Amino acid sequence: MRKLIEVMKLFYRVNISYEIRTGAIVKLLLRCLFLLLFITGIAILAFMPNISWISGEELYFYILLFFLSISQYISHFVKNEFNYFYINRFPLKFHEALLLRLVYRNLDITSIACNIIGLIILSIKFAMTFSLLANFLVYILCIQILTEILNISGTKLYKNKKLYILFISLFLILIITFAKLRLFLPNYLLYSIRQQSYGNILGLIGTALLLVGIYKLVYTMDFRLKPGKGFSLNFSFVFELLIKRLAFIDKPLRYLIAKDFILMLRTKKHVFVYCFLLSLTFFSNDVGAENSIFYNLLIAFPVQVCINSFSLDNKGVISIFQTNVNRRNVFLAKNIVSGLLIILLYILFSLIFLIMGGTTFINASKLFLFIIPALFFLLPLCNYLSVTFPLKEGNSGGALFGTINIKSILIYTVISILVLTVFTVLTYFYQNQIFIPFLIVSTGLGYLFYQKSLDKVVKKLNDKEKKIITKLLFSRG
Amino acid sequence: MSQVILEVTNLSKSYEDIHVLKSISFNVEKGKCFGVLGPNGAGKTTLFSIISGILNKNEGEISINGKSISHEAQLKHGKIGILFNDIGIYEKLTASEFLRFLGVMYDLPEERLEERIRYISNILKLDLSNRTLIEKYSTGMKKKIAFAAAVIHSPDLLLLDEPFESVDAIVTHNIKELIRSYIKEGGTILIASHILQIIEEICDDFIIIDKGKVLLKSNVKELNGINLEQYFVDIISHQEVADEKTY
Repeated sequence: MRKLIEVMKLFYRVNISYEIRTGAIVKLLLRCLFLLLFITGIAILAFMPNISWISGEELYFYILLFFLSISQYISHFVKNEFNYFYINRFPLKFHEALLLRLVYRNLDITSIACNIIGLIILSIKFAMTFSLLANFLVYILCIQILTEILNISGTKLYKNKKLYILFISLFLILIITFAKLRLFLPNYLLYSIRQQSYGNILGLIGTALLLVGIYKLVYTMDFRLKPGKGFSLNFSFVFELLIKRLAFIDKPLRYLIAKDFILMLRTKKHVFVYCFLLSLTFFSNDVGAENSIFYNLLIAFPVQVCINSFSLDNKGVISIFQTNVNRRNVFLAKNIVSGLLIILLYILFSLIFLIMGGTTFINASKLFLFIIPALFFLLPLCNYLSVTFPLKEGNSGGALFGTINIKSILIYTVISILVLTVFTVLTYFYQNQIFIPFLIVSTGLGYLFYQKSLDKVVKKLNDKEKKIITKLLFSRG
Repeated sequence: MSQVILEVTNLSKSYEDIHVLKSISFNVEKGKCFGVLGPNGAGKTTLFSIISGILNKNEGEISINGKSISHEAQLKHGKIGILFNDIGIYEKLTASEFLRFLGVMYDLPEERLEERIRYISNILKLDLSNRTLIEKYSTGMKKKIAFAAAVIHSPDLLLLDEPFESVDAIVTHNIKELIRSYIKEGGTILIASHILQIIEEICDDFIIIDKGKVLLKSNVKELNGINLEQYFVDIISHQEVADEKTY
């Protein structure tokens, strides 16, 4: 225990002194300002009278998701990324390493404050949904603990195949007993199961296990089996073949799309977005889950992927800048891949909801149609951010310190407000006949906006190319 | 007289108040291997970054084939190939995916790309049927892949920043072989390394830089049997003494 405390103190000392050295006090203040702004906003939302076209539960969900997205975003500002290679320098036992990793990763002050204050306000306002909140926390905790266990057991120091096999077996049992049962049970049975809080929690644990397990398996296999003499499944190869067939797309663009798609699939963190989204299936009958997914896709996903679009390339970005590839194609490819993934995910989750009876086909379709104009407006903003404030990623997938900029915060806030507005408008138009004309007009306007923005962002990229390369290749953060 | 492919004149670069390069000048002839020697922190990587167009210079001129480097079209049309020390690779792709991707970005026709990949992988002993991600390879393998990427489009000028660092004897041998065949085909190489025996073995001309200044320009043949390592240490120590006196 003494050793553990010492190591933790060391990590904190390193981080705090690093923040002070790099003038991070201003940045910390900015983080607090950001936090205050959202707490105020959330308090206003939480205590205002109920609005007829939006239910309390829906509002609760959007607010909760908003908080989760923000805490994720805030974590991009600080170098609190736990580098587990450091752990290997110390003779720590498995449980010590696990505890250290868990504590260290979840002790970002602003993220904690953001979540706790938000959740307290929400619990006061929506006391009835408190059990939902508890279940959700159980789910998050499960994901965190299990991922850490598997991450540490996967390192050279703690490699333990038996533990892996044990977990995988557990996943399989839980898939069959809980997750699968819940997914295919008729609605009335599902409802009765939901009334039992134990069932709920077990189901959540099952899903968490299932998702982390699938993820780890897939990640370990790198989406493919090793090529053999006989038949072998090769995901990248299949995708490349598919893309190559699309002869009407410019060849470099096809390759850019293929590369981005593969990079995105092989980047760890996206699995958490999928896990989170899939977890919503458990609440689908209680709230407008398809709306929540839409919201999360358009907030969390762009924040994680699009804003940081060059970070996926990271060191490899030099390859693009050294060739004569059209820069417009680079953005186009990144946007096509992001957009396609958002659309694919939406379809996947909508199907799950439809099977569970959580939504109607018409509602799901309406929302699906709304994603296209929303993307046309959101992707240009994300492109702009990725060029203006490129973020560099560490080995473990988190952005490194030193990327904060007040303009970046403001633009992100604009994006958030825009998405909230879009969402509000969308919810309003659900009740009206003018949904289709509204959709057509906004798609048209969005397309024009996107086209115009593409030229501008390419110009900006050309101007800032050296800065971006320096940031991604040479800077410490 | 040999044709000069790279001409660097009075090149200077500073980061805020730190002068990394101070008025550096040298010429590289076509079809030659030119070595840039210097201790750690001498400014070699900065020099290569500026020549390759990654960083901006503060002062001076760089021209390739007589055209100014600020005319960036040269870079973008595959005149230069670069191998940096541990940068410039998509580590989440396989070696094969990465090389094919680069080939298409450089506009290589399909047959030519296949031919290049076969040729390079053969010399470097790269197994491209292996579906392992680059990130999972050893440093030596990564270096081989980065080298293959740098020459995939048969550039006129190849910049190699510490190509022999962290690689074993076999990889060193393979890289040397590729360098020799590249030179034989009429290519030009600018190489930075602190492994002086290799520089002595493969380079024609060389410069020694330290603290951003060119201390010596010479030819390997002019050494007349003098040990390059001893020569290098003497020059650097002599400069340090001179700097101390000035200080």
